[in-house]
Amino acid sequence: MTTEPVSTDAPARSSSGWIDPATLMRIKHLEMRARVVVEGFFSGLHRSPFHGFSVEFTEYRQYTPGDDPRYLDWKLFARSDRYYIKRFEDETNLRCHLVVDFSRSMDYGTLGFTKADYARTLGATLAYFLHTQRDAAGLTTFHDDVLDYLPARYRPGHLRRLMLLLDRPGVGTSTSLTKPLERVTELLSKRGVVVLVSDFLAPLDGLSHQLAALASRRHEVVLFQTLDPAELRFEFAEPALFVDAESGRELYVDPHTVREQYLARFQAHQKQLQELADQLGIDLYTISIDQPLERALFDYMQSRARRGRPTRRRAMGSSAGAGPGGKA
Amino acid sequence: MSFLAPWFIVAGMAAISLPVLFHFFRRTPRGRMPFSTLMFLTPSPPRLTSRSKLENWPLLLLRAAILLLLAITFGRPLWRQLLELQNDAPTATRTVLLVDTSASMRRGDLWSQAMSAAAKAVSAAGPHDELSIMAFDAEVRKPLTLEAWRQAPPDERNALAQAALGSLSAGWSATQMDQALIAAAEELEAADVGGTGMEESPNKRPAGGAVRKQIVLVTDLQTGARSADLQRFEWPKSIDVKIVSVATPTANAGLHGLQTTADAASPEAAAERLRVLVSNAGDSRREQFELAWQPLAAETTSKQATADKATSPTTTYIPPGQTRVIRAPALPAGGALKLLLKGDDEPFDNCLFIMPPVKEHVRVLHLSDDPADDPQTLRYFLERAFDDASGVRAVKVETIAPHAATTRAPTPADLEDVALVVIAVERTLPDNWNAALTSWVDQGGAALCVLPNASATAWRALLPVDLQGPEHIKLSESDRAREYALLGDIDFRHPLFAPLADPRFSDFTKIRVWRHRRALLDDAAAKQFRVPARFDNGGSDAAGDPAVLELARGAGRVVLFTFGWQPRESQLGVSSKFIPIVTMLVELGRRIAPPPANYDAGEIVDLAQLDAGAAKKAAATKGWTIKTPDGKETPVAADSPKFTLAAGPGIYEVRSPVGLHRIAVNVAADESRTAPLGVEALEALGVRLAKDVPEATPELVAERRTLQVQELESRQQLWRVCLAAALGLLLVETWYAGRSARREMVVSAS
Repeated sequence: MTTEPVSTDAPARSSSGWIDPATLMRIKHLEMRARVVVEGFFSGLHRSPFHGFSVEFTEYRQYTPGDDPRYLDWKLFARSDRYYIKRFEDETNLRCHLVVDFSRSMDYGTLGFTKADYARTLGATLAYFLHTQRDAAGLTTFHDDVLDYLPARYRPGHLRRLMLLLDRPGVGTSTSLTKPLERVTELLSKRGVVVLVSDFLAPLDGLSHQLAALASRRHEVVLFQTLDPAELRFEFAEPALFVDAESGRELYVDPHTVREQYLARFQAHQKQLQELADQLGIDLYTISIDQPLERALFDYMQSRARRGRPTRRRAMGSSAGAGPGGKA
Repeated sequence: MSFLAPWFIVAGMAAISLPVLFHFFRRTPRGRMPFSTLMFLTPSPPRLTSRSKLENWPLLLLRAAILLLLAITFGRPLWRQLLELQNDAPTATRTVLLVDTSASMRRGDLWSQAMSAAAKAVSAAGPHDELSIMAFDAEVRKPLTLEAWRQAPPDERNALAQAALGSLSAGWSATQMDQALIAAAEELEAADVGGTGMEESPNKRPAGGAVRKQIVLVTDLQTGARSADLQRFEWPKSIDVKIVSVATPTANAGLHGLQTTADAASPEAAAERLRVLVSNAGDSRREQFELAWQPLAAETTSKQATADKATSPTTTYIPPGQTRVIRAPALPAGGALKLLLKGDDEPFDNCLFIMPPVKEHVRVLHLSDDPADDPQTLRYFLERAFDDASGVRAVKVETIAPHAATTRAPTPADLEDVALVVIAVERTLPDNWNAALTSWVDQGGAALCVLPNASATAWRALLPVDLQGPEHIKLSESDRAREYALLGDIDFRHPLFAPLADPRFSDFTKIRVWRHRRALLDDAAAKQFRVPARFDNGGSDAAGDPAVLELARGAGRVVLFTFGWQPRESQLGVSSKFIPIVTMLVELGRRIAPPPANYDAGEIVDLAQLDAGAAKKAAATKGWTIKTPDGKETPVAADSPKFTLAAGPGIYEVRSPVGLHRIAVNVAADESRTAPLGVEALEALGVRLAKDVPEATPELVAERRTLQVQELESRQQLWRVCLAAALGLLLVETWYAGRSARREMVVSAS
């Protein structure tokens, strides 16, 4: 599967009422930010070409002796005089693990907010979205090593803990993708979705190895590359002393002379990353941080839809829809 | 220019070098650009331009100037030349020496203390100073004026002032300290305003020299000194008062008469009922006093023996600071009217001379045919209105039937003691009666005409000739259809009704008038008559009928009552208002008022008031001779009938060609309150008291100089100017820097 690099031009969809990231970032509360995006996304769904696309997590199953009577739906019994078991999410639910880059290079941004802010909001948005669908969400934050780890769960208070971890100020230094991914691979025992949010502005050596390890464990991996427009276009006017955010190294650069060289090298890096993703069958979404977050959410949904859902669940969902509750 | 805090200037200079240093130390690259990663970048050759010279001179100068001004501001600058000028000028003093000569200064050695204090103040006056001397008790005198001081040669001034002091002596009058202080302050102020200041002085002082104005008040500062007027006076800020207080440790008690009641038949009887006020001063140490009558000096020769025998002194106990009213001891047979207080140290206020007022006898002439003892007549009520003869005035009502054959017309001498003539007859009086009465009214008598009916004519003869015609005042009987009339519109400002103006007494609605005469005045009469009271029968738009009319005639007046007070006509006779009204009528017509007989020492007597009537006229042409208690006789010319009772307490005899008046003069009651008054009391009234200046030591001089510098600085407040200038420059700097920055930006953008 291939993904087109996201255009850095203003997206046509933003005219559909999606929220400008600069406006969104003014909301200080991370959870509130996520909620705004997700709810805006839901309301946007009505006009969406993918109308009807939704994940049915709860369903009814005819009671058979041996089932836990705690899960009997008594209201349905009252209506239909039949025993049905209310099937819970944990049986069918997906586990999504968010891996968010907190390195110092993410602390760069020319739009009034940084890539890290955007990445945090993206992570929070996904977590909140998953939470609304009763999916379990986990979190790993990293810079050159794992900062925090929160296993994927769906339980009261979990989302809040996740938000708190996401909202922690970044203390990272350099970006190293291999070591954190190695740790994540070790920690994630159950199969699920791994969403990696980073700028991937680091040497890619070893990354393919780790991603392959994840994929081989039948994890579904989605890469979100958040980039600042300045990184994408390198439109600086004045010659200046450029300082590396991670190493502090200083370099006198005249943008006019080095711009083309920069763009060439950057494209090569992006190409390498894309090839790597393609090889492993991983979805890579490059997002300029001036693009609406709903778009990233949409990309994620699209990726999920493309992959399809387990046939078992879909069959069950359809049978439940025509089921006795008249719940369609 | 110098600075209060010069170290700020040093710090400011150091601060100025900072912008220069910053300018040179500026890094060449315009800025540091943080970037997420340098992994795609290669270094490009730097194009550094070294700057070793100042780029923006105006901006640098502006900033340096701002810092310099701030440094000067904090340094608190001042012009010291002014200070030098102030210090160089010698301070001259213009002094008013105010010496208390009131009666209380007679105590102990107060007067000699005061004289030595005053002499000291005089000798303290330097060649640049000016001095005037004022003495005060009840009035203010100027033994030495500023003008006289200035005109005297400098070496003779001191002697002149000492001579002026020598002419003073303690008097007998009350202490009006407020008037004296105000007069002295005004004198000092006037010396400035009038241009008769130091500039014209023979020995000129350097220009700019300040003149210190002060009042040196030499007094015993007694509690009884009057200071109330100071409350109304705004004390000038430039005048200090230095109080030189003299004191004596003696005890004092004073004796003063209360208002002597003249309701007894004889002066002796009055004295028997005399009550006196004995006050013991707050600082007194004695409490036991004796009161005894003493014969007057003039009567001593003949009556002393009997007086001494008959006098039995009254002993009284009065704690310090208290005042008691006590009954005077029984009067001895001799009838001397000098009461003596024994038992205190100071004799000046221990005598009380009493001259009981003479009982006044006046007559009321009632021209009427009324029989005696008929309760339906005017006479019955009029006679009973003056029944009580126990007051200060004995009024006798004489009823005369003028038309009777036996009655003769009165002569002016017959009418001399008549205060009121009530004319209640109907027919016109005989001509000789009319002539006598009109001339009597012209001289100040009061005639009351009660109109018995509408056809009465007797009263018209008292009117001026141009109003005597019946067309001027038309009389008719009142409307009988109405049950009664009330006195509706009363002018309480009129003397007849003034005593009843109080709301407690001004209710006339209980006096019903059954019948009255309606008097219709034409314009000529209406102009001359006053209507103090009207009836209430006028209605809403018209005035009621006049009830009382009054016409001024010569010095006297004619009053018309359009109704009678007998019960047949009205209830006035039986109302409580009747006696006050007729008493006021007597008062209005009383031409001989008994002269006051008791005075305070130092008071000014208007001798013309002592005589009245014909005697007044005679005295006014020939003048008076006054015999003071010390036996000295002073003639007073007729054209200036004022005399100051300055010769101390005692009985003064005022002789005029027509009679002899004796007046008793006593020390003012306030003079006995000799306890010292705190200077705070004067300070509370706004008087600026001079502070004692300590001797000048080098430290004190240095400290004072520092204080002066600080004061000068705070007065000049140059730092405000510097701060304002710094703020102004800051604005200019902001504007200039902004403009050049914008220009730079435009250049770089293009």
